[in-house]
Amino acid sequence: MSYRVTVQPHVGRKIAGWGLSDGVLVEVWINLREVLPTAPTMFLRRASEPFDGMNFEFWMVDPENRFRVHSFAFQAVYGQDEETILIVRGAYMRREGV
Amino acid sequence: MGINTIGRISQRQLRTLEEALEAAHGDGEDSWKDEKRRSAAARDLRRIVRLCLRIPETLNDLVDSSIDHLMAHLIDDREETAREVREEFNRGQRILTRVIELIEKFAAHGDSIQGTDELRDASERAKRREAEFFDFWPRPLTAEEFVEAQEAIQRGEGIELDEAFAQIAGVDRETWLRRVEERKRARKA
Repeated sequence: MSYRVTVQPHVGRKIAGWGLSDGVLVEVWINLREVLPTAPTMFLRRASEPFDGMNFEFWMVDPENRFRVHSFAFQAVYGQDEETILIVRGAYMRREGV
Repeated sequence: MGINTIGRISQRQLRTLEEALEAAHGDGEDSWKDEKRRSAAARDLRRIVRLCLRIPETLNDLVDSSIDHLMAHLIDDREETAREVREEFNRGQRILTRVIELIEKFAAHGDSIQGTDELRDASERAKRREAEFFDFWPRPLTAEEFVEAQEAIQRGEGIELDEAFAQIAGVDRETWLRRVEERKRARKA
């Protein structure tokens, strides 16, 4: 079963503020839209009990600069319908020469 | 697992430095009345300044390594790692403050040691890096945030990813999805 992943509007605004290139932005979309929903139990890591928050972290080398690494940490919750995952927080860090 | 190997090396370096400074403090300013001792202490202090200017790099290593381990899903307890990283940033700031104080005390005895501006700059750089790290590092949702998220789902407030990313990219949904397909094709090529 594939989940439906959505983002809270403030998370969308935050991602927009990261100033990602198109290439990196597409990779973020692929991770959230195609990787995560297919196997959320594999990719989401449980945060502290009892609030059931989940973490989804991934990184990538910049497609145009191999010395630049982009790291992403998203936090999500499952809906009670057990079909929806809502991204409630997102964080990003760009590092050079790592 | 909390802090990792590089983290432990950074931790050890900072702790050793702090312990050495505490021991030096134990020697007391009285010994500086003797000119030879004061001169030797001043030379040591210059070396300590050089070591302390590396503190932001040591903390950077700790940050980079912690993030790499987070990305590799090798950290079981994120909060424990966050506490340990915070502790090392605090330690770094204590050391920098202590060395600046020592330089000022030497100045009061008539010995000029260069480096306070650089140490203050190192302190500011470390503070910025600390803020970046904690802005990034996941913290658990509070009970209120969790309930709020559940209510948002029930109200249907979440935006579909195709729509959200099209907005972020400043294009319509169809253009965005074409862009995704082009990128996928380029990856395969």
